Amino acid sequence: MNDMNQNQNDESGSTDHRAWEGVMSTEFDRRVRDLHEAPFDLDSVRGKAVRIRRKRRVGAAVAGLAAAAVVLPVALLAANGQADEGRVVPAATQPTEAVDPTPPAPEAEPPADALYLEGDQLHLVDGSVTQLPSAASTYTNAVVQGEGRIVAFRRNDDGSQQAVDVIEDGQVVDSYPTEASMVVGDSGVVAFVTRGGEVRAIWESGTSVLAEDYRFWTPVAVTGGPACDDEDCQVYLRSERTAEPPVAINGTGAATPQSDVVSVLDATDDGLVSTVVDTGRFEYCSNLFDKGRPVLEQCDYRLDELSPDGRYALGTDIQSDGIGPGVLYIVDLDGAVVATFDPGDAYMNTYEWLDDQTIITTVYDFTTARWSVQTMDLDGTIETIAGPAKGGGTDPSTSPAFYVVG
Amino acid sequence: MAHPRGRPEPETGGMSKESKRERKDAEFTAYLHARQPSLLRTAYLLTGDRHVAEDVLQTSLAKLYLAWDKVRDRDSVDAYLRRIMVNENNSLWRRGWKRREHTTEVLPEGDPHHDQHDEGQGAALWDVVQSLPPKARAVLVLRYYEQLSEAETADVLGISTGTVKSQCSRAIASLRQRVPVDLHPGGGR
Repeated sequence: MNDMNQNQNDESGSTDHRAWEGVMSTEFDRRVRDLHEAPFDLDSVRGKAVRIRRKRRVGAAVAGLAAAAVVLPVALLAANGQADEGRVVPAATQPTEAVDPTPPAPEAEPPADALYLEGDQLHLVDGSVTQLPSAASTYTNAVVQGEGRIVAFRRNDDGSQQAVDVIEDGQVVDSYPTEASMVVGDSGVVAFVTRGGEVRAIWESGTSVLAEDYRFWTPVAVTGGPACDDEDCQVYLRSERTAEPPVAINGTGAATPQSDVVSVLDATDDGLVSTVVDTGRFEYCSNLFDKGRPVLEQCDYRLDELSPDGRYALGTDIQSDGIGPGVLYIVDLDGAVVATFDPGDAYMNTYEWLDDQTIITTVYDFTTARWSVQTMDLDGTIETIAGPAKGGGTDPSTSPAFYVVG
Repeated sequence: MAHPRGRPEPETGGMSKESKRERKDAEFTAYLHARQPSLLRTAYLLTGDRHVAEDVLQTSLAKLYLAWDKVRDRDSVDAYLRRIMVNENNSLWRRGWKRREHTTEVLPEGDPHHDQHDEGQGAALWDVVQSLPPKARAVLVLRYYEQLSEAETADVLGISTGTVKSQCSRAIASLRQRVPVDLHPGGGR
């Protein structure tokens, strides 16, 4: 075909394309030209807004319960610690294995070298198994603090018996009854509130009561360490019985109310904290604070999980509601989206950082009714590492479990 | 979040919280009056269903109301709402909402226009549009109804201009295939 014919064809194709565009515009106009209604007044919009706002709050609570429902039956340890230097809480570092995509989670086969609790047996990364003392309640979280010493949290089914045990050489040497679970920092510091209202921290070389009169407050994060006796160590608490804002108590006992902060989502060892903030304007934002100083204020994404190096956050749409997020975002500290995980007609049940560069998530595809476990790198590269496999349905409790260990 | 009793009200630039709320409501009411019919038309084209369109519009307006103070540039409110409507429709589709059937005894007032032309080119075109997934359909609505540029459409949908182009080309290719030749623009010449 010579150039002249080619040009004529291009021109004719372009004219044809424009003609079809015109047809489409005309047809769209025709379809809606008789629609002139304005069905909603301010009251109906405002009423809907109030329901959305309430639902977002409930959604957050349900998400927490769903995570517990998956994690607890498999006795998966807390996902915010590290597994180096003998410390054995699973970390957002390298995956060794991960995944049995066959739900329900309690039937999942734990990876051979993973750290997990199975009844009263604590399996360590090096393959050894430590027998925890028998107790009426079940251990659900544990961290190794030095040679032969373990700090573990146990509870029974109805939560009436909860305690943090300090175990040395297989024997409980100290036990602290609590109202809620313990939190473990990246550095291995453990923090919890005793049934008497003491905020206590335990680390490898010491323990301290940071504050008193905090009964019915729940610890949500701890930063700093390896010791919790200075200002760098901060324990974040949320009130369960009052509308008071969360509070940060440092290693010297100084308490700082986190004004306008509704909840603390995550914290790094270096003191970067992700929060949900009530703007007082009928909307929530998700802000980052570095040692108490705001470093990012934005209202587009809920910054659920901070990367281990604190350079990125794993976010979800702050407007989203329903069974789970349909899209995940990796956001940098300027609030810019670095990569987007959008599997289409799907929702994500659990999601976290695998290492500094990679997120991992369980995905339910509505179209195929299949669960899978997928990862995404900072450059947007997506990999399916398990599944797709049929589960018990769309319910989060049928999601596969994954283990992230160091 | 409810603030503890006795806590001072935050500074609001000299305007009380009540006054701010009244001003917001007045502005929002004016916006509803001015723009709602047009927004309903866009919602209908995005969803293809009058009931779903109203649901999407109401939810989107509610989310706009929640974020009203954040949208400081009032000229960009339509763009902001369009983005919410598109996301809301995608979200409904994800949740399988659209797969539910709606039954009604009475044809809703102001039902979209139908005429003889619908039996041919228009009906075929609408069938093609209806068969598209919501994101592809949104590309066509924003480009050919809202008359947004490729870049503007890409911005609203959070996709590349290349994807906008390819979605449009694919839709037109489908139209060429599915519309009888004698109903093509220019009579199929």
